[in-house]
Formats: sequence, C-alpha cells, structure tokens
Amino acid sequence: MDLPPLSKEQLVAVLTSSRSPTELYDTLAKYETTACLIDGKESELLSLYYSIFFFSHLLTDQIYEARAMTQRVPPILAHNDPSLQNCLTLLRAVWQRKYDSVYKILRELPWPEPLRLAVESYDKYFQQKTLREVSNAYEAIRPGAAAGYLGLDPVAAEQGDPALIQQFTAAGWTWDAQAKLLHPKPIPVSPKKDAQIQNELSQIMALVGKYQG
Amino acid sequence: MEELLSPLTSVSRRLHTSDPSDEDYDKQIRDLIIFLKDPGRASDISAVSGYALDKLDPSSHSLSYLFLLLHQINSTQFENKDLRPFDPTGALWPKIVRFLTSFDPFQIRYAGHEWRQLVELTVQSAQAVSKPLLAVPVIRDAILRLDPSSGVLTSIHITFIKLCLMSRSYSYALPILEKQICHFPTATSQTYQKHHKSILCGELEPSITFVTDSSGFSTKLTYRDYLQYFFCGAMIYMALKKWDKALHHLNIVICSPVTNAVSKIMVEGYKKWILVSLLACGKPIPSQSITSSHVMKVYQSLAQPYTTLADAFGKCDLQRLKVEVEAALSVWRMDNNTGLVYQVVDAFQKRTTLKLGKTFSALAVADVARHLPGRLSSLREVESFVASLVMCGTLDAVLLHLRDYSDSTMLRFSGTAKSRFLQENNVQGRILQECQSLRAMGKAVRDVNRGLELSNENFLFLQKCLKWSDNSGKGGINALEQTEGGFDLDEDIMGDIH
Amino acid sequence: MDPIPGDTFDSQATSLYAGQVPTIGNTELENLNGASQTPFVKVDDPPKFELESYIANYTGRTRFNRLFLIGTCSTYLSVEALKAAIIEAKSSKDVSRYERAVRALAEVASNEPEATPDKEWVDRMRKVVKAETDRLEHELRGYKNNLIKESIRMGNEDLGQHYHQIGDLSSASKAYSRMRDYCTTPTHIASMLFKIISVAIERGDWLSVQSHVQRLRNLQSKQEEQAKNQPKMSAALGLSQLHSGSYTDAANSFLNTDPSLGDSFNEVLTSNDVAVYGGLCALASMDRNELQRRVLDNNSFRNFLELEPHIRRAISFFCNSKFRPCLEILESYQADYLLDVHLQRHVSTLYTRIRTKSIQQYLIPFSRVTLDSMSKIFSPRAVGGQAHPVDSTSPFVQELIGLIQDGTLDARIDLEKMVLVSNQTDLRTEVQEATLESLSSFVREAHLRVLRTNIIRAGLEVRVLSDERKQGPAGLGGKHPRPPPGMFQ
Repeated sequence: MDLPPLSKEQLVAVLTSSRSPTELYDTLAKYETTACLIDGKESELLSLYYSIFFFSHLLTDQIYEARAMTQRVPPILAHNDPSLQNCLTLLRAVWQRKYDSVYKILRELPWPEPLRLAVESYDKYFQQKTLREVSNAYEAIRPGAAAGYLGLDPVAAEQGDPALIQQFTAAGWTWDAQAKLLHPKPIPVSPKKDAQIQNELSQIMALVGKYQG
Repeated sequence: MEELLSPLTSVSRRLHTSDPSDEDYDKQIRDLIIFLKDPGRASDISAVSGYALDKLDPSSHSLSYLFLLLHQINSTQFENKDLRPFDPTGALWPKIVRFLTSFDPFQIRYAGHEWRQLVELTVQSAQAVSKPLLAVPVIRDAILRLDPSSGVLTSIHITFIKLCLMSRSYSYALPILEKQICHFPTATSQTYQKHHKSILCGELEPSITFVTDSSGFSTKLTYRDYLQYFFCGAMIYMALKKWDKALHHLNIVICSPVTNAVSKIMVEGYKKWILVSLLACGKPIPSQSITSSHVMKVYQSLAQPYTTLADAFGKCDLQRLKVEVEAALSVWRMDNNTGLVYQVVDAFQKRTTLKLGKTFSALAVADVARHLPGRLSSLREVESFVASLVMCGTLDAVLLHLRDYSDSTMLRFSGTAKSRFLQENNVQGRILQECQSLRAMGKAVRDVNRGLELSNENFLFLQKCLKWSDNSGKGGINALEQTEGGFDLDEDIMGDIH
Repeated sequence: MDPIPGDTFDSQATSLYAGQVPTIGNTELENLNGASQTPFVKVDDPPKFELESYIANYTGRTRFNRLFLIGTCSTYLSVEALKAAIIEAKSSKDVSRYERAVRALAEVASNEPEATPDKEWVDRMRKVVKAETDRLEHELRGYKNNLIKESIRMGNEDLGQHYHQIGDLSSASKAYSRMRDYCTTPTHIASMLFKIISVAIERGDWLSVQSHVQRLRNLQSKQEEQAKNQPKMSAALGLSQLHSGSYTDAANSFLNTDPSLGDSFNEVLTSNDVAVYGGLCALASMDRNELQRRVLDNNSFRNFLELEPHIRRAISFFCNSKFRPCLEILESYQADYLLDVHLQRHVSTLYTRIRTKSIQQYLIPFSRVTLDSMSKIFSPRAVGGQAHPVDSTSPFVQELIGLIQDGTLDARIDLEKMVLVSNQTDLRTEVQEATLESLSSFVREAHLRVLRTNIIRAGLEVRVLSDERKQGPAGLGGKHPRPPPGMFQ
C-alpha cells in the first residue's frame, strides 16, 4: 500500500480524518522516512509535518519518544522554526507538569492555522486527562487549585463563580459551599477488555447457572 | 526477454502450505537458485533486470526479485564508476523498500547471503546521506518478516539497534527488542546435520533451522557483537525510561560467560547497571549469582565511585549522596553517565516520599517537607511535587485540601482505595503476560536441550558410556539412561536458579 | 600495676552507653579497677540507698570497687564515698588503689586532709608487699623441690591470694591456675575454680567466667557439694551473660539461682543484686505471660524479689498492662542502678528495651490509638505545659517514627487524626504480588541461563581474541603499570 505523497493538504486531511490519536500517530509515523527525504527548503511543509507528528506523540502519551522525535528534526529547522520552538517549550512544560504554562502555551502562543486543530484537541485531551488524574488524586480540593489544573480562571473559581463550579459538578464532583471545597469523584479507568478473561468469566457464569438449578 | 521471465516466475508465493508440497517447493526453489546463480546467465539477467523488476511482484517472486535488485544495484554502481552506495532519492530506493517490507520469508530462507547484502547496502546508503532514520523502519520490518519470533541474533540485529540509537528513533526498536533473543546462529559442524536435512521452506520450522552460521543471514559473530546488542538495547530502554527492561538487558551484559578476560563493554554495563538498579528498584540490589567472583572483583575495582554512590543512596543519606555526586563529576562525564546520575538524585527525592507511606498513614504536606531534605524550598513546591507523584500513579495516596487557618494540605496513604475489581483485573492481566513469556522461555529451553542432545560432545559422551558399560558388564546402562533423557539435562540447566 | 590499661574499656563504654547492644562478651575485656579511673557517667540525683548500709552488705575487694565507682560517678555522694574508699584501701595491701582513690578525691575536694597521699604508709606497704611476695615465691620453690603435691597446691593458693590482695589480678589468676595439677579432690578443684572466677569477675574477663562455670558444672562431686555451689555458679554465670548483653540468658540464670545464696557471695554480689539484675533482665526480654509464669509465680525467685519489693511491683504492673506506674518505678530507681558497678553500662539499654516492649505490648489490643492517650502513658512530662501536646515534631512522635522505621512497630502514624494505626495485611494482594514477582524473576533468570548456555555452545565467551593478543598488551601495558586481568575492549 503506497502512501499518498506528503503535502500540506494531505497532512490536514490525515489530521481531520483520523478517528483516534493512535491512528493519527501510526499514519504520521509512516511518513517519517518520506519527510526525511524532503528537501530542507520546503521548511513550511516540514515544520507542519513535525509539529503535527509531535502533537500525535503527546496525544498518545509518548512523552519520552516525543523528546526523541524533536531531536530527529533537522537541526536547522528545529532552531529556526517558531512553531517547532513552541513545541519544545510545550514539551518542557508538560514534562515538568507546569499546568498553568501548558495551557498558556497552548492558548496564547501563535500556532499556524493548519496546526490549530491539533493544538485544540491536545488542549482538550490534556484537560480531560488532568481532570481524571485530579479526580483520583484529591479527596477535597480548593476550587482555585482545581481551576489551575484544568486551565480555568483560578481567581473566579476561588470566589465560587457558579458557572465554573457547575463545570466541576458536571464531572460528578460535589460542591461544599460552606467549606468552599470541591470533592472530586474518582473516575475509574476502564480496564482493557481481555477476551480470555471475558471468556473465563462466561464459563464460570455458565457453571454457576448449571449447578444452581 | 519474455523467455527469461518464465523461469524467473517459476517460483511464487505459496498460498497454501500443501500446494505444492514442501518437498516439491524445496526442489523448485533450489532449481531457481541454481538458475539465478549461474554465472553464464549473469549478463542476460543483468540486461533484463530493469525491465523484469517492473514486471515481477516482490511479494510473490521474492527470490527472483532479490537477485534482480542486486544485479541492478551492481550495474548502476558499475556505470557510475562509483562504488558508493546508491542514493536513497533515486529510483531504486522505493523498489528496495517495497521488497524488504513485503518479501515472502519462505523463499528468502534460501538466499541469506543475498538478503543480508541488500540489507547492508540499504543501511550504508542511508548512512551515506546521514539520514540513518531512513533505513530504520525498513530493516525492522525486514527482520520481523524473515523471523517473526526474532529469537536468533544476527549481525543485522546489531546493525539495526545501532542504527536506532544513532537516529534516536527509540520506540522504532521496541518491536525487535521486546522479542527475547535466546539463540545464536546454529553451528553447522555437528555430525548429525549430515544425516538430517530439514526442509527450509517448511512453515513450522523454527528460525534456528534456517539461521545458521553458514546460511549467510549473519556475519560471524564475536562476543563483542552480542554484548553490544544487549548494551545498546539497554540504552534504548534507558532513553525511554523503561528501567526494568534496561536492567534485564544490562544483566545479560554483566553476566556473560568469560574465559580469561573481561570485556570493557561489560564493565561499562556494570556501571550503568548500578545506576539503573537504583532507578528501577529504588535501592541497591545484589548482583546476579551467575557472575563469577573474579569478574565481580574486576567490576568492583573499576566501578568504585558507582558503588559508593549506590551505598549512599541505599542508606538514605542525601548529604553523602550529593557529596559523592560532586566528587566524581569527571568520572560520570567520562563514562557518559552524567544524565543517569542526575536522574538517580531526582529518584532519591521520590523514593523518600514513597517511603513515608510505610511510616505514616496520613500527614500534612508541611510534615512531608520536613522529611524531604533538598532543593524543594517552598511548601508550594513540595505540594506540587507530591501531587505530581500522586497524579501519575507512582504514589498510592490521596490529597486533601483543608479549610483551616493556614489552608494546609493533607496527604493520605490510602492502601485499599483502589477497587478490588480493578486490582484483580490488573493482576490477571499481568499473570497472563507472564504466562506468555514463560511459555516462550520453555520453548527456548526445549530448543537448547535438543541442540545439546544432538551435539557432538553428547554423542562422544554417550559413546564413552557405552564402552564403559561394555567393559564393566553391567551398571553402565543407568548412566546411559540418565544422560539420554532430556529431562535431566533440563535440570542441569535450570538446577541452580533458586 | 594494672594488668590491662583502662582506656581499652573507655572507648567501648561510650559506644555502649549510646544505647547499643553490647557485643559478645569476649570482646569486652573490661577491667573494673581501670574502668573507674575515668567515669563515663555523672549521676546528679541522690540515690535512694544510704551509702554506709549499702556498702556494709559487701565484703572483700568489691567494696572498694563499688565505693570508688560511686565516688567518681555520683556528684551527690562523691566525697563521702571516696573517703570510705580511701579507708578501705588503706586497710588492705593494695597500694595502687589507695593512690587512685586519693587522686580522685583530690579532684573533687582537694581541701580534705585525706586528699594528700600518706607517703609514709605507701612506702612501708610497698616494702611489706615486696617482702611478702619474695617470701611466698621462695616457699613455693621449696615445695616444688620437695615434690609434695599438697604443699605446692597450697603454696600456689597463698601466692594467688597474695597477688589478688595487692591487686595484681593477672598474676593472681596465673597462680590460681597453676593449682590445677596439684588438686586431688573435687572440693579442691571447686575451690580453685571459684577463686579463678572471682578474679575473672574483677578483671571483667566474662568469657573466662563462663568457661570456668562450665567446668564447675561438669565436676563430679557429691550431691550436697553441688547444691552448695549451685547458687554462686548461677549468679556468676548470670553476671557474665548480663555483661555480654544476652539479657534473656542472664534473666534465666538469675531466675535459676537458688535462694540459699544468701550472703555467701558477698564478695561479688548480694541477694538484692540478684533480684534487681534478674528482674530488669526479665522485664527487658520476656513477654507478659512469661513474666507472670516464670518470675512472679516462681517460688524460689520470690525469695529474692521480697528483698527488692519495688522490682516485684514493677513486674506485676507490667503484667497487668499498667505501663505508666511500671516505668515510673524504674525511673525513680535509675540513679541507684547507674551507681551499680555491674548495671551502670546496661541501664540505658535495658530501660530502652523495657520501654519499647511496653509500647509494643500496649498496642497489641488496638487497631488504632490516639497519640494523645499514648503520650500520657509514655511521655507524661511533655503533656504538661504545651498547648499542642502532640504534634509531628514532639519527641514522642519522633520516637514512634524511629520504632516504625526500624521495624519494631507494625503500625503507621496518622498525623491528620493524630492516631497510631496498626497495619492491616492484605494477604491476597501480598500473595499475588509475591507470585508475580517470583514468576517474572524466574523468567528473567531462565533467559539469562538459556543465553549463557547458547553463548558457550556457540563458543562466544568473552576471551582475548587473536588479533587483540598481538596489539593489546602493548597498548595497555604502557599506560597502566598493572592492568586489571584481561581488560580488553
């Protein structure tokens, strides 16, 4: 199966048509050798490719490999391209778990238009992931801190802004207005369905059914 | 031209293993190889190669395609009067890539030398334009296509792993690294092989039957090669921070059998092993008992700063740890271990926090700060450090913000917070995983046994036993029986594991 | 004069006092004479006993040793005790003791008339001793020439006794040992062995005490003879075990001591001492059941305990889980025990053990205990003045943290609710983890071994390859004068 040639349009198409981050990553990984062969003068295409590829790493939580990938980018490009430079700053912030800077980088830095989609979906992904982690890590949390984790306005949250509080309660959290504390509800990570386990389980159920009567 | 095509397409990929039968297919392939290697026809084949390459399907007529490719490459190099590897931007490159990612492994078993030649050329040409990454996915696919179990180490494996390190494409190497290497190309000098020819194209033949020291899939290996393979593998795991796996690979390096010398790679491996064991287990661990004592002595005399560092870590002495790190800065730099050493220092902080869970079931972050000596100065920093440990799941605990006079934060070590169901599920998954690797290991052990049983040495030994039993009348039969059964050998190999 | 210089003991004493368990007896060759030269503990609290009546319980050389120890350690009794020690020394023939006591007194009270040495007495006594030594040695030589066994034995005995009196302990021990070949009856042997033991105790040679007690035990002698020797043997053995730090054994030996001991061993210890030593060792090493059964319900040991009723009370408080009064009794007698020649170095260790054990025993019935109620029992003084009686920095919590970290307590501290929570074990999870761990380590090691087998089979062991042999040593030899064996890239 030959890949369609690498172009800006093709990249945008891949970005919009991929159903899951893993799919996006797999498709882009196949293009990496192609990207290797592209003339360094087409810096715009290369920059877009590597930036999207970088985000596909982040979306699949491959942070160490993402770092390795940024080192594979042709050095001239990596040093001069603003978008790739932003990627590096983002990587550092994610690595160090500096939540406020992550959101700031994602929302305020000038990302090129075709990359927007990737940036936004990572923003959403990172927020969801953090929400899940905070829900499991905290039993009670000040709204300001929670807002900081999720990239919302901490000052408004600390004052008990109903709209913000509503966002948290929507995730199943409860709001203790008296103590001004949020009580997160743990979000269970659904375990991977294992065919064999399911099978064994149904066998046991069958046995139970058989001997019950 | 057409008349040449028909013999070239005489062998195609079998859709069913029984059609034609293994024996017939084997004969067809051998005939084709004789045809392809015939020096008289070389120029003819060369002449049509360009045309035929477009006609043939690399996944079906893989053997012919491979020979034609090599002819083509040779002639290109000849024309250009230039022995440089071919240019990856040229027209040949896509053909090579297509071949290496889609060839029929059964046919290629007969053409190890040619296959390796092509792979090596690919690597060289990627390196020639200093884009080693170009070759990485191709070679990986080629290795896995030829031998999906990838259990036999070949020189291509070593080239590949070095290529991955060089191009910093670490996770590309994982599909190969995660297969456990258990074998080396089989020696063909054993007597029994003269009497027993296995059919190479048989579907169920294990890779040790076709990757032999004369099959050409690998150059002659030395101890340095396999040490390098496992060492580089460990480096890749270290880059991805998979400490357990890195530790295992380093273990292989430092436990290698030695005769009269210790390799420098082993010493370097031992240094890294000490650091990685701290990162993987959070404490210094005893080295494997397999390592002989004189090797251990060499290690210890050459890795002094590392052992003292590990000692300071194990005694939970941050002050001493820092002093040791400072004192041997030049050593770390010289051994290229500076990065690892700094990670060890970071891990110490983490370790101390995790250990608090053994003493406390709940404590305020201010108390945590009291037990955490080091660079985290403000309570805020301590809290975010602890929170990050909890959030990434390293620390099994929950945090609580309190509304008291100082807005303090409480850290509760939960212990039983995780739901039973999730835990059982998790355990079952892990058990299944271990079962798989155990099964793979069992197979490797059986293969080793078979090899040992059929080895010349064993036959000589059996012969001696027979003679002895002849001389002494009776009593020898027992000895014979004991050595005959594979089970006893099995116990010899695994006997001192515990 | 001193056979073993005093400082061999000092260096150990400091480390012992830091609360460490003393090492095996044979390494701590202590010398009681030398030991007291530099006291390693100062006791400021007045002891409960009265010096005069206390010392009246003892006879022989131990009187001086005890007085000297009290004089150098207790700030309260120093002058009184040292004066008594000087009198004691002057009544004997041991010149070096006299000089030491005078020196010590000069340090604390130089104005006292006794603080200036009596030169005339010293010179006279030295001459007397010299003459006596020469006479006895001469006599012994005479007996030896005459080959009369009994005379030789007695000659040696006299000489040993003389050396013992003048404080030359190693010569005394040698002279007594020479008696062995000339002993004809079990009674002689027993008396010789007791003399050796007595000197060994004073020298602090606890290994020798143990081996000679063993010899006494193996002696074939009459029933009543055995019964007579038993109490002294047990007490001596217990003493040596106490000093070796094996408190359980010591407790057992003291508990086995027959009450007929009475005051027959007063040159070493009294029955009161047996009660105290045995009681403390038992408290430090036995659990509540054992204490009840083997100490309180022990009819023969009861005789000893009656002499020291507070020890009996402390033990029964412990058995009834009333830890506060038990510890209070022990605390109030701490000064006394620190001034005891045998207990001094072990008080701290014994007390720590008893305290730790109390905390352990206290926790057994609870799944969680408030730190507050615990500190009322185990650290009552801290509760007094402070606003927050227990917080994470209070010494009691620090003590608990230490006990948890060294594995003594199987519990965790909850600083949120201020309780100590005992650990619940989740057996299922533990088994699962252990199984998985052993599985994966098995697979890993099997892999190592399979590889190893195959490496050897393929002849790929690390070896000096032929191409390296040509150039290798030359290249290496220049840089390193002695390269490590077989180092090649």
